[in-house]
Amino acid sequence: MKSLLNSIKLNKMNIIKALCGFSIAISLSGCVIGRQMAGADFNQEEFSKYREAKISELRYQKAKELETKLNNTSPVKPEIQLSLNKAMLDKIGRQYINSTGWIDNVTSYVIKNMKTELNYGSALMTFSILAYNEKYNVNVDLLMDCIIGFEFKNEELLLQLEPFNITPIAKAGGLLSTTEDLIERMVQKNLGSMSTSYPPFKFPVNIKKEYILQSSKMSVRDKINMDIESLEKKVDYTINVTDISIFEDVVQVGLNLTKVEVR
Amino acid sequence: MRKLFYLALLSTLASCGGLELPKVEESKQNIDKFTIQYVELKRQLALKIGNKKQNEDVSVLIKTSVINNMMDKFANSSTNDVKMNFLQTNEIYSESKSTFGISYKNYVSIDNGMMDLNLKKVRMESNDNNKIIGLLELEGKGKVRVSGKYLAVPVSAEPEVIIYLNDQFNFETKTVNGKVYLAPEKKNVMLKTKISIKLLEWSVPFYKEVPLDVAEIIKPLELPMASQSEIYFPMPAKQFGESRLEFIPLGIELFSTSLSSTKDYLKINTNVNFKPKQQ
Repeated sequence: MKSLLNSIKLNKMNIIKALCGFSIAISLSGCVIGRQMAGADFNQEEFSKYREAKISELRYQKAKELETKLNNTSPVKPEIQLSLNKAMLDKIGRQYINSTGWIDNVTSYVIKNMKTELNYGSALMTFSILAYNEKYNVNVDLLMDCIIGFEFKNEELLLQLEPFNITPIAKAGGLLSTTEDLIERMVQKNLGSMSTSYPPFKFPVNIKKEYILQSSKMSVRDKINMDIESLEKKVDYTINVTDISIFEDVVQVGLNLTKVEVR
Repeated sequence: MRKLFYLALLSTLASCGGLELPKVEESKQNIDKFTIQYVELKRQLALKIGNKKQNEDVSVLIKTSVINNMMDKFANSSTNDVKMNFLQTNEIYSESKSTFGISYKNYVSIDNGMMDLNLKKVRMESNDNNKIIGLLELEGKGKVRVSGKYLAVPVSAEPEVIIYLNDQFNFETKTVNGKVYLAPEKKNVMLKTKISIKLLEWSVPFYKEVPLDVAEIIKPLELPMASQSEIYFPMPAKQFGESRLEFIPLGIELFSTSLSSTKDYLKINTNVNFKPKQQ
C-alpha cells in the first residue's frame, strides 16, 4: 500500500512536472520534443510488450524458485500452517475499494477496484485508480497490474509491488489537453520502475501474542460441600513466520511457536 | 526570436531523454518462451503438490504437539493451580449402633478446610474420527477439620485428605471475536476424595467420587493461530496531511467454522467477514 501511495505520489510529481515544465514547450514546439525532454519518448507498444515479457519471465522465475524450495526443503510441515484462498485475498482487496486519499492538498485519488490472481510462486494484483488534480483539472485513470514478491530479511518480511502493464488514461481540460499523451507516457515509464525507487513494505516476522486464561469458580453442593476456584493465568507466546508460499489456489504461511511463557 | 531560443534549448535537451527498449518482436519471443516454460513447470508443480483448492477463506493446520507443549507449560507453571475450600458438610459418614438396648449414632461432619490442587496434566489427543480427546489430571493433598460423635462422645480431628482426578473428555471449538478456542464439552468428571479419619478408636473409611463439570473447570483455550479480533488496515488517509496512511480498525467475524483432526494435526476451516468498527 505504501508503495502504491508512493507510486501515486510519483505519478503526481510527474503530472505536475509535466504540466509546469513542458506545457509551454509543448505549446511552442509540439509533443515529440516534449516527450524527449521528459524522457517519455518511447514506443508504447515496445514498452507494453517489454513489460509483458518481463512479467512472463518473473512469473516463470518465481515458479522455478518455488520448485527449488519444494525440492530443497524437507516435507515436514510447519507447526502451524495458515492457508488463505483467493476469495480471502479478494475480501482483503475489497476493503480498499472506494477508499480515497490525497497526494497533496489539490490532488486526490480513489481506488476504484483491486483484484488478485494467484500463480505458482507469485501473486498478481490489479489496481484501478483515479487520480485528480484540481488545480490543473487533470484526471489520470490508472489500471496497474503488480506482481507481489515476498522476501525474509533481518527479522522482517518484505512485501514489494512490482508494477507492470500500466495503462494510464489522462484527461486534461483546456489548453493542457495537448499534454495528455505526455502525462500518460510519464506515468507509464515512472511507475514501471517504481520498485527500484521505493522501499518495500515491511512486516515483523515475530508476532507476540498474549491471552488470559480466565479464572473459574464452581460451587459443589453434593456429598461434600466445596468451592473450587482455578486461578487466572496469562500466557505469552511468540509466533514466528517461517515461510510464505504462493500456489495457484492458496497462499500458505508457515508459522512456528517459538516462545511460551505462563505468568 | 524567443520561439527559436526555446526550440534550440529543447533540441539540445532532447538527446538526454528516451528509453532503450527491445523491439516488439524480441519481447514477443520472450513472452512465448517464458509462457511455454511456465505452463510446463506449472504442470509439474501441480503433479507434485496436488490439489490445494480450499472452499473456506482460511484453513489452519496445527500440530497437536504444539498445543500440548503450550498446555504442558501451563500445567508446569505452578503447583497451586486450583484452590479448594471445604465447607460445612453435615454427616459425611454415619452409622447407627445399639449397645445394651441403647441406640446411638456415630457420625462425622466436615467443618472446614482449604487446600491447593496441582494441575498435573492437561493434554489433547486427536484421532482419525475427528474427536479431540482431552486428558485432565489433578491431584492434591491437605487437611480438613472434622468433628462428630463417637459413642456419644464429641470428637474432632484434622485428618489428611487426598484429592485425585484423572479423566477424559471431548474438546469442541468455539469462535469468539475472530478467535478460535478449544473448549471442553460439558461432561462430569469424577473428583476422587479420600479422607483418612480416625476418631478415638473409630477409623472411618471415607471415599467419595464427586462429579464436576469439566467445562466449569477448564475455560476455553485460545488456539495459537495468529488470529485477531480486529485488524488494523493501512488505508489512504481521508484528509490531506503529513501522513498518507491511516490505520482503520476492522472487526473480524469468523463463521461456518469447522474442526477436524488427524492423528497429529488439528484442522480448522473458517470463513471471514470484515466489519467496520466504530471509532
